[in-house]
Amino acid sequence: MVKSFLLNLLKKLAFNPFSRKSHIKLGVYGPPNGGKSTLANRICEDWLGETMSSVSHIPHETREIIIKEQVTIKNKKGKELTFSLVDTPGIATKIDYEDFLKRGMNKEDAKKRAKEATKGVIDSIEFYEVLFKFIK
Amino acid sequence: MVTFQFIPYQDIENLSSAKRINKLINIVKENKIVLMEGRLEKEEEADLIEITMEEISHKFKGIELSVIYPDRSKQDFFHKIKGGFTSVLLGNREGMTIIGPASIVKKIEKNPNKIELFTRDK
Repeated sequence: MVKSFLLNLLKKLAFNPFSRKSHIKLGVYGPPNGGKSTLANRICEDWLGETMSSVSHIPHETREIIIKEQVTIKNKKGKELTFSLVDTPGIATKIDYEDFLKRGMNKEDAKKRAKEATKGVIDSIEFYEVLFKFIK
Repeated sequence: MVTFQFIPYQDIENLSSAKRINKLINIVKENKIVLMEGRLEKEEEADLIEITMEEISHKFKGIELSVIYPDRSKQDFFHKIKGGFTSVLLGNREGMTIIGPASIVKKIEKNPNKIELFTRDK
């Protein structure tokens, strides 16, 4: 399913990355608990047979940018595309440690998570801005 | 009591991006809800979130942000041209940006005809 999703996505983007020689970075962006790590894991499981990120029902599980180098996929004609897959922390406009307390975390862990999540959002945006300038 | 502060486009049109964002954040940190005429550029929105994250503390929990913008795909040719000319002459003042402190605003829901702003129970 993820394979066909990826191939359909590339079709819709109306360019053929399989003919490119340059290195591609595929970033997964979105809000917290939106399924970014789940998607990244499915891509890795399907093509590499391994996971790349841990997932949780508590938001902001991914608090650092995780990069999986050398993910190689093949199209129907057997052409290969190798790219780096980037799983990013969820982009939020608010972070309150009390939300983590409500999810059953203790105060110390909740405060630590909130602090790391805040930094994760900043890293995510900075990484996105670098990519965005590069695309522009 | 909830306070709304309206910011007309003319108040921000000549400000740099950094000053524009600081102005908005400073108002929100006074526990006011900003109603801004027009919208921020995409890069400015990203900067607003980034600066918000840098400012987060036990007092300031962050912001709720929502932008209401006319759907240009549904406009006929005449209105698209008219909108384009207006933007060139007067700046892009189409739409409305709502920014509130997360300690007061729980969520903002929008659809083309109405805005629903949910506040937190104290």
